[in-house]
Amino acid sequence: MMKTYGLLEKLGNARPDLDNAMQKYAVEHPEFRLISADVGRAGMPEFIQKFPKQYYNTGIAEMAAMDLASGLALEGFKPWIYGMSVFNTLRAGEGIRTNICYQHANVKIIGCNTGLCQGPCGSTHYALEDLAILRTFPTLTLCVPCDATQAVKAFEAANEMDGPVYIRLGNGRNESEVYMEDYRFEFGKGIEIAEGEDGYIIACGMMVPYAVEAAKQLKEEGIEVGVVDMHTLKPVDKDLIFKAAKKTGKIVTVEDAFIIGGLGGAVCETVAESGIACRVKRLGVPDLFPGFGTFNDQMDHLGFGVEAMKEAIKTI
Amino acid sequence: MADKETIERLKDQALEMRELILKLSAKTVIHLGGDLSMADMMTALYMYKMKKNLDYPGKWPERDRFVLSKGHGAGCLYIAMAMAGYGSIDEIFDTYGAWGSRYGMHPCKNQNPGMEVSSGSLGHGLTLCSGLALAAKERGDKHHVFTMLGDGECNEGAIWEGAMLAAHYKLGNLVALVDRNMVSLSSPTEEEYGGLKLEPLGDKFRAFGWNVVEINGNCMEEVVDALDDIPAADTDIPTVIIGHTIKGYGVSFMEGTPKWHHGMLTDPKLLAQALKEVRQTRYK
Repeated sequence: MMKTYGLLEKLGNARPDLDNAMQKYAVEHPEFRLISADVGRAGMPEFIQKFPKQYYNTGIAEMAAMDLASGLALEGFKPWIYGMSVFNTLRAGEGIRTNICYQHANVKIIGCNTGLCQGPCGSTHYALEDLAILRTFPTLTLCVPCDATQAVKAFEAANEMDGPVYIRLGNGRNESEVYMEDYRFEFGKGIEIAEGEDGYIIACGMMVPYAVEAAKQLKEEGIEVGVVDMHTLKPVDKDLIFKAAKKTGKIVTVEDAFIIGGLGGAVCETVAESGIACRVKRLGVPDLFPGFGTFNDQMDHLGFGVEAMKEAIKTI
Repeated sequence: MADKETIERLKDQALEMRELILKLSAKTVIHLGGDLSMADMMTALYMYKMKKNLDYPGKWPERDRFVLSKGHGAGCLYIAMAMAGYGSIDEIFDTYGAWGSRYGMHPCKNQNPGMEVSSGSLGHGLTLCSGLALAAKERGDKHHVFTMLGDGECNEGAIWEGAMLAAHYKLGNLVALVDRNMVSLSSPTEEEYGGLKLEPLGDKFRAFGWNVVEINGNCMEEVVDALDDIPAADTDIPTVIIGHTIKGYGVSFMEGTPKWHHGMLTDPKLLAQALKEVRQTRYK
């Protein structure tokens, strides 16, 4: 059992935290480079100001960012790309697949402004299929940190790895911090925040604090629900999924992305091939292009917020 | 200007490369039209211009880099590399396309670590090479980065992202060669029905801030001159050498037609004729 903050009790800011982490790393590693397709100032403004020689702006050309990073990495540099996840993965998805993953280029990518946290931006800017797309790329590690602190842990873990890593942030500002205590972070090892008796909610990214809240409310009704922070979608922590499935036979997955192919897809694939009898309900964005609205509106109308999680646990 | 002996040697090697391309196409599907058009430039790069060190274990840091942006020209690249000492012609002929082979239709560095990068998806080479060139420039390395583009490939928007980027970052150590054979997979590039018109291609690169050199890419003297004249690696303007070539060069029934963009030369009579004609072309 991990001690956690209440929903929105403590807010974190992944973007400035990563900005600071990059600055520290860049001092120690002169081969570090930050690359962005003109959105760097929105993400890492201090870094850009203080380390102009270690920053490249490719302009609004996302594919160029991927290809440039690949070339630099193949020559031994340590490039990180910061970009909007919808454009990283749809406009420049081939760059990630063919010029980073296929080349074994040691490139790290941060996908920001994902899911529906973009607020009124609309579906041109919502990254809803990024998880499904990226899960299929061989050699890629795909991480969806649940909060700002974890995003920095993922940054540090990625720097220790030789190979491509994709870190998918939410908005990166004013989002719930989850953990009250420090913990060991490792790609591919999900975190069992709470053990369950009557089911599990497996969440990733910014949905984790909402899952914690749902479990808390269910507990008040006498329903003991476990919560898993599945921060790495690839490689996914199969053992933890097996455990949740075996113990309770009931799993709800939650993600701020299309339910097709993302976290829900990964959990269903794992459960289906395990032979364990377990019902799974996937919550997230259904098969439609969402309109405008706040994140709360989106959760309510599309059905993946706290109430939807509680309902799913009770009905499956 | 290289001496006459060197030019003659290179012409002989270009002929040998073409003969091997034709013989390989009798065994397997390759993109022989474009292989034949770029063979002179590939010969001059691998057998004359590029710095290499075959005695160095692994990849020599000071080597000139080469990326085949038009990755479908892999047949020509493999043969050029083997002729230059990287790999063997026999292995190409014996294993091409088979499971576990280092040689397939598009270069793969996972299968063949001698490759600088894997390629085949068109449009990426220029920007990826900009990364290689920018790394070299930042380190003060003196080698060049060469890439061969197909002309049809220049319809890809990514080429022009790369063109902007290389000029912006002052990559004088980057040299793009364009195999301007005027024909893509389906049609001549300048026809109404043939892709998007590319001309004036040189002016386009010039407008993007590049040093532009236009040559007859099937004339060894001009190719060698152009490569002799590229700016030093520590200069600021990237260079494009637009090699005006003929698709299927040297074989009358292949020249200038999309029909032999890719395929196999399975008819022994046609193969014999093609081999005879490339030899005649060498000595004409």
